[in-house]
Amino acid sequence: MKRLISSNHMWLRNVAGPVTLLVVPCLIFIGIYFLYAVWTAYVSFTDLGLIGRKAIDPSFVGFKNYIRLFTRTGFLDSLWVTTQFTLISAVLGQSFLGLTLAAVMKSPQIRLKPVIEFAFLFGWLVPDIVAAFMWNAFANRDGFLNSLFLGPLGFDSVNLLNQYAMTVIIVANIWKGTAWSYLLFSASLDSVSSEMIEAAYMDGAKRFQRFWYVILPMIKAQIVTNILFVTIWTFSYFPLVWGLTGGGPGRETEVLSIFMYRQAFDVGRLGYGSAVAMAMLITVGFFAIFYMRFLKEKK
Amino acid sequence: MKLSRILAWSAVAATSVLMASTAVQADVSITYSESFADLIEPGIAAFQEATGENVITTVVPGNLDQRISVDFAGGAASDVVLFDSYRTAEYSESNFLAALNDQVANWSPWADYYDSVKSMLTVGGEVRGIPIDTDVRMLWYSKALFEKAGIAMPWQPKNWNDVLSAAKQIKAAAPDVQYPFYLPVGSKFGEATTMQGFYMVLLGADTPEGDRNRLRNWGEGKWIVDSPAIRATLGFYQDVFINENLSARDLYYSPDPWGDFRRAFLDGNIAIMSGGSWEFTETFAANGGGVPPLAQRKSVMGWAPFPGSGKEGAPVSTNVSGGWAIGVNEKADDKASAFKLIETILSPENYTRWVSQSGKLTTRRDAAVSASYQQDSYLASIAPLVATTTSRDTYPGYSMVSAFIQQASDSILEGRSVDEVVAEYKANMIDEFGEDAVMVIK
Amino acid sequence: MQMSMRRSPSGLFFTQAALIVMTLLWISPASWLFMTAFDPAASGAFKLPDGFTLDHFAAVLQRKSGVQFINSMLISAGTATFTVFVAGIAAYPFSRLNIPFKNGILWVLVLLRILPPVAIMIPVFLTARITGLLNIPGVVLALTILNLPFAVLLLKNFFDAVPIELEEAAYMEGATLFQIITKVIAPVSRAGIAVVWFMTFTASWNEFLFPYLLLRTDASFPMSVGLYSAFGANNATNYGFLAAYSVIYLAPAVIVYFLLRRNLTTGFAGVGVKG
Repeated sequence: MKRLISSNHMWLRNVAGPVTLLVVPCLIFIGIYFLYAVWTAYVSFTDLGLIGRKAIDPSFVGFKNYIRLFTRTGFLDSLWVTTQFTLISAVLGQSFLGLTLAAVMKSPQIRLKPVIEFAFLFGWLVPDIVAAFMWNAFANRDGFLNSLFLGPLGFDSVNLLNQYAMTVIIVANIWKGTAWSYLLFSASLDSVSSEMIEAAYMDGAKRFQRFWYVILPMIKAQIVTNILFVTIWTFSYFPLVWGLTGGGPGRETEVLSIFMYRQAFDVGRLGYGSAVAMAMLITVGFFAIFYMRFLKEKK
Repeated sequence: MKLSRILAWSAVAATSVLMASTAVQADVSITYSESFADLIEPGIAAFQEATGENVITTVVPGNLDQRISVDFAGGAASDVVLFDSYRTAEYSESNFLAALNDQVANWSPWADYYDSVKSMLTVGGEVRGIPIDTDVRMLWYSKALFEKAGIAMPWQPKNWNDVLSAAKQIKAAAPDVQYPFYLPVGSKFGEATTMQGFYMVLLGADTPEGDRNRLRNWGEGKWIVDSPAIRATLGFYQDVFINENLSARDLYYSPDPWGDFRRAFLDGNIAIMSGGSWEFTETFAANGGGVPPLAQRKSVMGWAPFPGSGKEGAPVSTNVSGGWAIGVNEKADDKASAFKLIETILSPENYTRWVSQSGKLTTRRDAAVSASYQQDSYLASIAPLVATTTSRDTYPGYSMVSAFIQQASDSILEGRSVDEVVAEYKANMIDEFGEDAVMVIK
Repeated sequence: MQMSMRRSPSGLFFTQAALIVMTLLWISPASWLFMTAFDPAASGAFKLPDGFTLDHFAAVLQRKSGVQFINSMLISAGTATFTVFVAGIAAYPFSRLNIPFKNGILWVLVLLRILPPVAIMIPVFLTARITGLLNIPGVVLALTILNLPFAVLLLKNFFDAVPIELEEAAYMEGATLFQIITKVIAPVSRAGIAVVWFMTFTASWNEFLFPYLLLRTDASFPMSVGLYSAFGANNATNYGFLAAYSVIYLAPAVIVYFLLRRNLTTGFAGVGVKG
């Protein structure tokens, strides 16, 4: 007789029932998480308000909130801002820099490795709001960037958060997040067998070729994983941008998470805010499906 | 690292959180902003001394208005709250504020409040809050920068063009000044954008008859979603921020927009700013060193009424008044104690002392006739503004209208055309209120 | 691998120089922070301190910051412990038993792990409003829900690596289920549990958005929200105060890093976990 819950191991068979019960609290929490996603979807079809009449007596509005995402100012701008921010800071910045750094740091001839490593990790260890505070001071007119770079190079001191707000948040996020990619790539490069590289070296492959043709294909899975994760995180990243620019000037740095927060809790349209949240979920869902298919193929 | 020890300690910690969160319920809690600290804090001290009860304070540095709304919406507001009086209708509609009729009936100072402000806080016969202050708005200017640019003082701009050309003169004379004309803009700044910025321009844009300069036509009972005045106002914003580049933009979005613009003014980085009557003290307080004597403040900043557009028949100058109120949360456990705290804060001595030095205007007679209030030459000088002031279009839904106005100003900063921005505003308003509740003025 | 990575001297010099420059760039925000925290004439400007003072730190300790430090500790330790407990007891059966829909559940966990937390913010707020959980326990619950999927996946991987023979041997000797869990399984997987605990701790320590939305009183703010609120507090951007506050706030994260450093790779090996 095949049991509903089974184990390949002798001793567990007798206690399988009680042990399975241990899953229950976890499943309840996961269930709540799932319920929340469904709830967000439900609210997105209503005009639920934060306060006032519509907070007590919301009505069903069909797809209106979704149509408004595309016909009203705000969402599309924000989507574009978020895409730029994510592509440049996470994919080009963090992943590329992290990989390069991990590859270079594998060489035994590099000196001061712990110091270099700690410097990069520091950005990652610093809490988001502290990072926002530091970069705010950094970008101001007599701050670090002006007094140590632009000034000596002969430029007038600029108010960077006024003129280059987007650049500032991108640079700040590269500073903040590169360490994560570095750690991941560093771990995955360790798993590449040295025989393979040795063999490539014997074949006379040049350094870059060796990296491109031998090592890269071997860590392809980790590269995809890394890009996917940093993309997803950056896509919904809130505190650094919120603390640094507040989404401004204008809507220049209003990433989707800020747009959603504003619509829901400042303007007070929980329904519309939920539609924004759903749009974010769906976008991330696409990334996720892509990722899972990739993993399945790897198997 | 002993894992079991960490786990044990964490369990202790988690339990104590739960206990701590239940232990605080007997006390009275209050939420206010930094700018009211000088009124509230002596009151709290007196209350604690008199009753022995503990007061739990939450001091909000930034946007108290948005903060209180989320507090209320989440059912987590303090027992005593300060709120912007335009929210009265909305908060009452949602049953957030306790009715205070019985309490004020037995509170002697209530008779001293002006009827006009009492009525702002009364909805359907129920008193929902006690008005604390009211205010007027104007253009502030930096005397040092005006002198540098050779602009005659006292400055008396007659129309929008005078304001713009003064700012341009400043820009030419002092290119380092990033904000020749600081005009509140953008959604980060919240209600300040609508009041200190948009309304001040709008109210003088067109001829005032038929509510042409307002956001709501009270005769028809409809929101105005497109009008020559709205277009002219957005055009003015465009001139300031885009066409003439008379103001940088980041200050309106900084983590601490209030403190930052005041310090910018003191640092000589703002030449003209549209602001409230309280700026005469608050600006100086922003440096943290206390408020200098009147003569010194006078030598730093001067004011002029915000002029109308200059269009024929448009108002010569504009002004809009708001005000804050203090009320009791409907959910407060001990409403009697909560009101007792309000009474202590608003005791005639404490209130009169505060209002005479805050640059705000009093809402009650006893303070108005007091020597300190009467003798304040600044308050006397702004009296003409008080005589002609107006108020916001505070009909239920106004907070949403205001939010859309702020978004419209964001769009102007992004470089969109007035047509586009008006279309966007109109669409948002129709989404929210329906075609029947809005109108267009040609 | 190491043998083959030899470079020409000039190439090596160039690489090393580039690394040093980048290190300086990366460390400079920190240098500003530390200089400002001890500078009696602290300002936003980048300059060498005029002297040395501990006044800013004293100021931090005098204000509400002490309470906020404790709040951060409560939230982070509470979340980490709760998460590890719930995830640990669930990960074990997931690792050992063939539970119906097991693979499906694990895939759901992978999916939930990558969903943006912002997306469920509104229902979390609405639930907290109904249940009166706009307070620290509410934040702990919300963060537990958010951290749970990753914790379960990571712990399952750890348990997978623990040989079952140990448990079987204990069973043969007559140990009860409870004894096996506490005396056999827990000690062996201690390293894994510690990694998950610390990772959750650090994530919660850093968390801003959920406390920002769910906590409505000064007395309950953790340091993240406290620091954000202090940007404009007391009528001045007091750079010295904010810098000192930041140093205190980031210290535990750095300390945890040094405790955890050797185990970090383990954690990162688990990043790409799948069902």
